Amino acid sequence: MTGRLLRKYFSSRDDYVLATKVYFPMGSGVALAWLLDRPAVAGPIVGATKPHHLEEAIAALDVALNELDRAQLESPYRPHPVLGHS
Amino acid sequence: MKYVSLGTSGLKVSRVCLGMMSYGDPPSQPWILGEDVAEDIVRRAVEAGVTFFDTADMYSAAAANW
Repeated sequence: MTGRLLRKYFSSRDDYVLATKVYFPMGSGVALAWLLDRPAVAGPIVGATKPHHLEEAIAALDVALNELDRAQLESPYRPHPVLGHS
Repeated sequence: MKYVSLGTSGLKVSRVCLGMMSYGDPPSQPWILGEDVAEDIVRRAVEAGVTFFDTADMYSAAAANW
């Protein structure tokens, strides 16, 4: 089932390998793992309205990203020009 | 739980910070959890070693604060 769900959101197998490193029902674990990996971030603020939100955030502490993971996660990002400040 | 120094404050905090904007009693919005439900999540967080909590006067019209 998770494979089917992931195929819905990712076009190739390579793109969703990272999401399956740890089973995250909400998918937010990978995002939290990336935030935790950022040197400037002490700890992400996780709003939990269900116990499993919290469990997922704690599980993200054990996800070690490698260079390939980072490159994969960051590749879709396109920097935007700064607006409203001259 | 893992812990980290919070900037240059000298504080050591857990690497997971529990955001408490969605807790408040009485709930001021439909998506706010009352104390009975919120307490279970807060207790689990404390038991897991969380020592870092995000709250503010404005959360749920100050009801989340203490």
